[in-house]
Amino acid sequence: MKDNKTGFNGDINAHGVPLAHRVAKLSFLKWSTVLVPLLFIALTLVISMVGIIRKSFVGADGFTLDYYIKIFTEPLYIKVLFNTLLTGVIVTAACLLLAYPAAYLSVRAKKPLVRRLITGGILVPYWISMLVRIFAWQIILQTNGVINQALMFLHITEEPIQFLYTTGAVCISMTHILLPYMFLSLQSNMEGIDANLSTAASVMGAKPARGFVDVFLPLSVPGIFSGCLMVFVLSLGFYIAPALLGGADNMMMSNLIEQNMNNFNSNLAAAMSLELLVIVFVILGIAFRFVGNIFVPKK
Amino acid sequence: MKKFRKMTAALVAAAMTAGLAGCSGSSGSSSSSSSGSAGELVFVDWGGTNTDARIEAIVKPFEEETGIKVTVVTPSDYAKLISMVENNTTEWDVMNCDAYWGVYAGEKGYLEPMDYNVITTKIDEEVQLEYVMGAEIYTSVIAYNTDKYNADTAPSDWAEFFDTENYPGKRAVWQYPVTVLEAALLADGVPMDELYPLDLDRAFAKLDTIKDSIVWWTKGAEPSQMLSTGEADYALAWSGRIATARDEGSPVDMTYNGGIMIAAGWVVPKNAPNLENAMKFIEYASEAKSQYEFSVRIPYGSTNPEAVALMDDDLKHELGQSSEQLANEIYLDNTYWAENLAEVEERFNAWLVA
Amino acid sequence: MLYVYTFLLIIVMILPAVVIIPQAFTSLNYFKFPVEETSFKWFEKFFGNEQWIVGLGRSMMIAVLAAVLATVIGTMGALAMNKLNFKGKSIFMSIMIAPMVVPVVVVGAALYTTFAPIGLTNSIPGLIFAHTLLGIPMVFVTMLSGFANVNENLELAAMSMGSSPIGAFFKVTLPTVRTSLVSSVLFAFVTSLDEVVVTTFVSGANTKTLTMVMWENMRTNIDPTLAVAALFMIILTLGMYIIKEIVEAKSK
Repeated sequence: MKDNKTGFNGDINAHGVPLAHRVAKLSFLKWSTVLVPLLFIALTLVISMVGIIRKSFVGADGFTLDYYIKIFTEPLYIKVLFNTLLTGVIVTAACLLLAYPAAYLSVRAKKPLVRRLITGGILVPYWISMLVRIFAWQIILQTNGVINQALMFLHITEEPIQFLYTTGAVCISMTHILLPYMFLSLQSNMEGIDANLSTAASVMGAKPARGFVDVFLPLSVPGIFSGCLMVFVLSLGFYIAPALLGGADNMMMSNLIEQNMNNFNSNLAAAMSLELLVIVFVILGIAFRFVGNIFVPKK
Repeated sequence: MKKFRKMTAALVAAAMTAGLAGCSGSSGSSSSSSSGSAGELVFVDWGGTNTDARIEAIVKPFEEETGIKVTVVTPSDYAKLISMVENNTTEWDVMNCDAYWGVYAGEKGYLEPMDYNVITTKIDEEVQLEYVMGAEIYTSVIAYNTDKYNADTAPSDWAEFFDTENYPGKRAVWQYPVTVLEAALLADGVPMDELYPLDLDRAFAKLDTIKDSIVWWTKGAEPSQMLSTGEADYALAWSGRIATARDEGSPVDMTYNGGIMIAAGWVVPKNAPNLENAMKFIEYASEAKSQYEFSVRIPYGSTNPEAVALMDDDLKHELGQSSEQLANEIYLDNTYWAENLAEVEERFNAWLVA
Repeated sequence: MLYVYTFLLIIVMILPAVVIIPQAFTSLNYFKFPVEETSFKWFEKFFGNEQWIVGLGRSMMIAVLAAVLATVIGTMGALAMNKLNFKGKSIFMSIMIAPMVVPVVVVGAALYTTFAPIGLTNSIPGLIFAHTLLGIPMVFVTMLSGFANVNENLELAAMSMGSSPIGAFFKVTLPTVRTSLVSSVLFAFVTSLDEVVVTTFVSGANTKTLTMVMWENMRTNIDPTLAVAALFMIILTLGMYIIKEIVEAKSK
């Protein structure tokens, strides 16, 4: 608490400006960091959202829980929710496992060139519109696509394998689309970890592996956390990749929400949206229970 | 609540426009600005080549003839139209949408009824409706890859399309119940004139028999890609897109036998700002000459028999509108779908993920 | 080992680009790899329809402005979470990430409700604000993890040496989180570039972005013009990156 205060308006009176004046000016600035974002989001989104959320409780005949009963009892909605969450978990895990070593290497690389090459390489696809990337994956995964051509050329398989329109194709493309988020998130956090820390640990006799596990890994938790949060939440909103690359099983919440919006059933769409919101916040809450709110410095 | 919203709205407006007034100059909206003598019209279409053809065939001549300035907005968006009407901020005058959705929206109170005092052109009665005036036709047809099949070896009707024994291979099918359930029932031997109301149990049972060999498509442009690349052998696809792809050299072709015609239709959102002009536009767009000019530019059928009469035999044949072809095609029942869309779509989804 | 692994990962990441770019030069009207016969007809089509080029320029402008705004606002929020003590932090955080969690079609409807009465629909500022909103959560989350590792002692040291708190923030804190800041800008930029659902709600006749042009074609005809657009997007963004590098190199 005390540290916090000094962070922004400590009792520095070196410039001859009356202290009270400075503090007033600073505290205005300070609180603007809360107010500006809050106002922006509240004015653009939250206020209108209230009306939309209200619809999930209010049907043609006044207050009702029908919409929630429906989404929690009918197999279609349960199954699609499960699909959506499962896809999110798989994609998030895949992104984390794939991106962590690369991010670690890019931060640890001695030469800035190596670092740039890694970052650049991983970010190349990021510049291509998502829609185009989905088509690229179609070309790669087609029955006579790049992978099947390669497999048959190497005589690993004789018959082309059906990759497209499967959950696998959906997960591969979504991992590809979301991996840059994880990578950059990890990298920018690792950057901040004092590079000397691990070195110090190894100097003091810890094996490099232990230095990594004991020192580096815990310090990179905020990066892991923000990366996972972003990838998971973004994956929940995906539906075009599942629609174009997946099969009938790969229907996502967003598909159903959009269909219901078009079918004059915004009540059900609102209920599903609130359901997603609550799920994400509950997951966040549970995560914070376990690891503490790692984004806020401990005092 | 309302007052509060207005207040915040004003606040937002003040804060935001002040900040960005500078860069909005070149790009401000044209629909709300002051109108010319003959007035204006905001016309909403799906975009892409459809709209390009529509602008040449209908919008430009309409502007010349009436002096009404038309602003073309794309794409048509159902959820946005709903938002507009609910917020009482309708900025669109005419929208092109699927006719069955139009009937649905009309019954829900989101549309202005057609003014048949202004619209005097007669089109096919199936699509001349209270809230919707049929525009162009796209037909759900059987399409196939011409590298592997020809007109003789590909399925020639829905029964053969559903026959996996004699016609093995993947079928690309629209991931949507509309026309797919009809196709299943036709395949199961239901006569065309007894299709509606759809026997859903029977339709889903028939679909079950080919579920494993279906690859699903969601966007109209997909089937021709799937057929061209060999990802599917046959497809239930929209005729217009297959015709375009074929004409551009893709190895695809189709048969109109058993084709299920979907009409796109004109609708006018509730409280459209230029209601009168909207009706004038719909009248103009429905006339034989306009429809003919549109079909010449892009292979979509016409809802106006007089427009069909203007076409030469080749064009009629390409659009599936020769009298022999029409004998084996059927119009979608827009009223049935308007009444049952939400329910059937839910059941279809449940069947999909089951 | 780590190098081999990272190399392989990069190959996989680049693969789609390698596959799609040549499609810009195909003579077919569908996607097939490898490209057997080349032609420039899709370039002609791209340049023949001004929607594509105008959309490309508009997309870039909106994305840049939205990214800057989102970065400023998102960073402020992250700073508040990190430096200030106030009640309801978890609510604050929930609100900050809400725009990312709410399904886009609902965000679109909500924004339309807000923007329509004040004439912000069908306008470039409206689009910029909409995209800013979508970018904020990503900036917020990224900057939070960045700030989590800032050494407060350094800030204190700077202040004890006569820096004002704000000066210390700009001199010490920001440089430490530079990578996070760059990542944030990228996230917000790409979010804006790729967005289409909210964009449809907010945009009108004169505000069509490149992504919207691409999506409209999905209903009727997908063809390799998409690949041409992708090619130009890569060239433009790479160009911006190279300019940035040159400017930085010169200023050193």
